[in-house]
Amino acid sequence: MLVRSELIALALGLAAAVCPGCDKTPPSEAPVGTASTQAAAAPVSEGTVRISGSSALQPLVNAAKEKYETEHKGASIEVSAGGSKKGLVDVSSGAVQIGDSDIFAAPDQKDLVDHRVAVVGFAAMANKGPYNAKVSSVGMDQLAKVFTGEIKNWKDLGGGSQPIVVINRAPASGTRTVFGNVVLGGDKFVESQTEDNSGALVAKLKQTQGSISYLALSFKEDDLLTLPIKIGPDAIDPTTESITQGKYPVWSYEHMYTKGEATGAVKRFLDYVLSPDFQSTVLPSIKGFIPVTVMKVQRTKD
Amino acid sequence: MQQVIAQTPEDSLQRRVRLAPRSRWPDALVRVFVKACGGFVLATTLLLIGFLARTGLVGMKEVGIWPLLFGSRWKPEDQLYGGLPLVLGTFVSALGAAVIGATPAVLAAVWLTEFAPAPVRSSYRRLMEIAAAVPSVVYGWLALVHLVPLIGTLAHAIYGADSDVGGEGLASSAVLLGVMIAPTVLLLSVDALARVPHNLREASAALGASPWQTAFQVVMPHAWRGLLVAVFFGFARAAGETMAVQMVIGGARVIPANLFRPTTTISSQIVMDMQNARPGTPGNNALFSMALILLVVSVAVVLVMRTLSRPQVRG
Repeated sequence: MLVRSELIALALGLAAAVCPGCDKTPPSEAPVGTASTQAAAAPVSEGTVRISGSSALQPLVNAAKEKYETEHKGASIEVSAGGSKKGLVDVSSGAVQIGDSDIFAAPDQKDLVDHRVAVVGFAAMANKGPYNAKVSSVGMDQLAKVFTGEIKNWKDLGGGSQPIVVINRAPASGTRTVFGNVVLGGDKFVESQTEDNSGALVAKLKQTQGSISYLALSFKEDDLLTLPIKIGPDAIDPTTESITQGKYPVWSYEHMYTKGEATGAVKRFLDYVLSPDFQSTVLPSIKGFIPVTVMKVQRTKD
Repeated sequence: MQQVIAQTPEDSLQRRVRLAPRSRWPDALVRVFVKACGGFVLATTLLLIGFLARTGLVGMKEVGIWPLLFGSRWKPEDQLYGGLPLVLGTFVSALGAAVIGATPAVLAAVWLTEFAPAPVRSSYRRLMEIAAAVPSVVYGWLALVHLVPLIGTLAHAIYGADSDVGGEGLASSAVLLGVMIAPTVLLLSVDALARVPHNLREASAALGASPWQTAFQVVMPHAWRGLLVAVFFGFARAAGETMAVQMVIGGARVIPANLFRPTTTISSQIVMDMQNARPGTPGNNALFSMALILLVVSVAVVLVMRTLSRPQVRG
């Protein structure tokens, strides 16, 4: 009779196991998200800080992590990049303690506390070739038309005849959101080839003739054509000076959001990132980052 | 697991109890453990389908099955959930892979079983087994570096240097998937052809048929079910492939004007969108619906395969 009792036990176990799949929980409790959140929010030791979000901010967080971990024995900072919007989602769900973002949190995310740790500029960057050697600057409206797909050839920007290949970042990207808001007045990008991280995008730009995209200035390099923006009679280069003086418009704060006021290890790490020591000595040495304190212009929304 | 359940009527149960009366403890323990394993695997599969269906069906209700399959624009940020670009991308690249990869694979299998000398046969097989085991990300990366620029050059040769075409698109993904599925299709085809009884070949030769006539008019017709199963298996694998395709398809959520324009597939769009999908939002539900559609298509292909292969197993 052992066999039968085993089978009954097995059937009961099976029924219990399958039940969550067929009960009447509302859809807002979607299983995958809930499961991953629970897994990620497992208890952590006192010194561990989990961070996710913006890939534009990642170089700075990594630099801070290295210095902080050598100075504070036992502290551990875990960083993963997956896009600004993921950072905001993760910090509000409690999966991480700090959510990195290039963009302000949505107005309905009132429980999130903003810590502005730096300013980053963004620029249109393109494949370099003889066809665009003569393109010295592009007007804001022209740039918008390139990315909405109205201008399709480099000859319309003053270069040689070569089709423009627009490459986009994925919709979760903060870079896409900031560039879209400032240059296009919203996410009006033409539907085109999409790369989901900045590093891969740089490689793709170098490889593809006629291609153009948008990147944080931390990814600026000589092999890519970084386009100055023409405002009035002047071509404005995206530099630290032009951004701090408010001449170059495509920039955003780099935010580190916490859910509620930061405490414990999270507060200690944030205090370190915002300390005068880090802000004035370490931060300016990382390519593309500007301390918030030197900005002569301010913003309260993207 | 199925067999365990099938054997539980009272008579067989008692017979087993008679054969092993008052079984020793370790024996019983092992039995419980093995059964628990069987139950665990079954439960995992059922849970997977249950979870997928729970969220996926909500999405289908919110968006509607028609737009999910035939709507022309997928842009979750703007609440647009037209799945046609994804469905079309998946279907066309898998079909292209079947043509580009499976056709030569089946013919190569015929050559291998009917014409190749024995040493060549075994080393060729070894090689294909290795090729079938290469992780897809490796195929994808190689394709990104070598195949995409090549296809881009080809595209410009066809459409003109000034046209808006490139290496990313259905052409690249079909070729890549074709290369990826070819070893598996070949191995399955070789097995199918090897199952053809040898006396058929001898009879054919005795009637004066040439080896070529034997291969194409006797062996292949006899093994057609097995060969079709091999091709279907390749198609199913190509339709579900994610990582490699995502690297070469381009990721534009539109129906492409031609094979050399970026587009997307169901699986690569899921990878792209899931990081941005907040649980409970329509975007998340619609994404689950697309996953459910992919699962249903795969199950359908498996069912077709089973129907095809059943009579052959009997004979």
